[in-house]
Amino acid sequence: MKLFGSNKKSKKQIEAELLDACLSGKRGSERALYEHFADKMLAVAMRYIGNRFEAEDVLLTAFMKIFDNLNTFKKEGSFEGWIRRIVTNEALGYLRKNRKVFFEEIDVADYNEQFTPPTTKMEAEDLMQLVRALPVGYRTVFNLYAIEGYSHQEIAEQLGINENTSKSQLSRARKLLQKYLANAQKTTFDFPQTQTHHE
Amino acid sequence: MHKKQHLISLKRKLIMNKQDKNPIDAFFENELKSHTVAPSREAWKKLERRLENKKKKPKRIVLSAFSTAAAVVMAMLMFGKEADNKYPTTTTTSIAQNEVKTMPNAMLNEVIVAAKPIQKTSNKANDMDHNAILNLPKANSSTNLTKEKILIASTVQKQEAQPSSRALPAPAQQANWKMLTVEMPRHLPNFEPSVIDTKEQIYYAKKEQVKEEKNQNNTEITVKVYLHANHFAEKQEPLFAQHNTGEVFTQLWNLKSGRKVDFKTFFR
Repeated sequence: MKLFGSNKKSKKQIEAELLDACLSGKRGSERALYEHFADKMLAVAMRYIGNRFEAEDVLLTAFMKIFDNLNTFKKEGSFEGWIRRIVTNEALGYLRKNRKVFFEEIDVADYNEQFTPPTTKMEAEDLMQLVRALPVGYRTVFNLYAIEGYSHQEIAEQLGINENTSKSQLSRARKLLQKYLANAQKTTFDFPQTQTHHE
Repeated sequence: MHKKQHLISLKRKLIMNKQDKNPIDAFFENELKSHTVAPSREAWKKLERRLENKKKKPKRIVLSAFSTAAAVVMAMLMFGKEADNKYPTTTTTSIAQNEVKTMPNAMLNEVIVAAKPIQKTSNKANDMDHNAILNLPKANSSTNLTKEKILIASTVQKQEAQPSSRALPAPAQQANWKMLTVEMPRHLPNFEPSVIDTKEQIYYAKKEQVKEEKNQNNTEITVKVYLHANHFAEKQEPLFAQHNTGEVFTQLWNLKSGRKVDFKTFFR
């Protein structure tokens, strides 16, 4: 159901229209907002939570919060960024609540910075599977740092760990991802199992 | 002018970041940042239901909050008055605890039975375990309860509700453990589970083997058995009187092993 926006309008305009429609209680606006962002946000939630069903539940809870707090959104920043942050926080909260996230103190690994991107084209879904195969702690830090763009200080505050732990988790995550990628290149994509619990 | 400068610095920062970005991070970011996964068809319906429920909820909350508050005030007035008459110098909680302390075993059982109907979450199988262990009759809604009993029952219930882990209590908490020495003939099935949790996880038991003696007829192992009740501390007899502990242990053991052995005969 596409109530709002057309190809001619910019992404920002569409989002602004959706927001206004929801704030004024326009019929069908909530569904339109959901449909506009749901696909992207489910991918975000799934990057943190290995299980699709759990990720979907987190997504719905996040949308409840989004609808509840729409009036608090200051129209200064990106609307999508605001929604993404809520979904991310909800996913982190879920991991914390279910004690699925565990950070062990490890030394910073000797990570080989030499990285050559895979020669064969890999689908986003395949890469997603690689990320989801990481242990939960590594995956969480990698997602926050590499994809969402949080600093180690912000991650440390968010997760209640120290900055060095965040750095070491990231380093391990990169090392593992590099290994997974190399394996995926060698074999016919024999992907590791998705990790849903402690490392 | 100021805004323009700010934008330029932001742009520069972004370019710098991209250049500095770790190649793996950059690779995954490029591929995954705009990745999408379609939710299931039912997802929106679920969300819609939740939204509708939320819109309906506030009225209920006000009503239920009001009725709960009224009930609490009423109960406090009623019980407070009665407790004042009976125990003029103590608080209601200590009255309940005193009663539990001095209560005969049979009455204590009655209290636990009285607590049953108050429980919010109940599991039939666990109910059975609990009753089997304590050798209690099934909870009966027609039980005639005095107000004092209800008060004690709710106190007991409150103590049960305190968080309890499946693991054995930490050494610091082991002051409440009751130690028994039991001689257990070898031919009996071993008391395997070191942690026994009933519905409320009241009882824990662990054993450690002390010695093993080979006789002509039999091999006897001597074990120390520790029992622990989460909310009935050792001070709060009579549940932990020696013979009672033996009974509890016997029942626990029989329940877990599926064999009927009267351990009272083995107690020193």
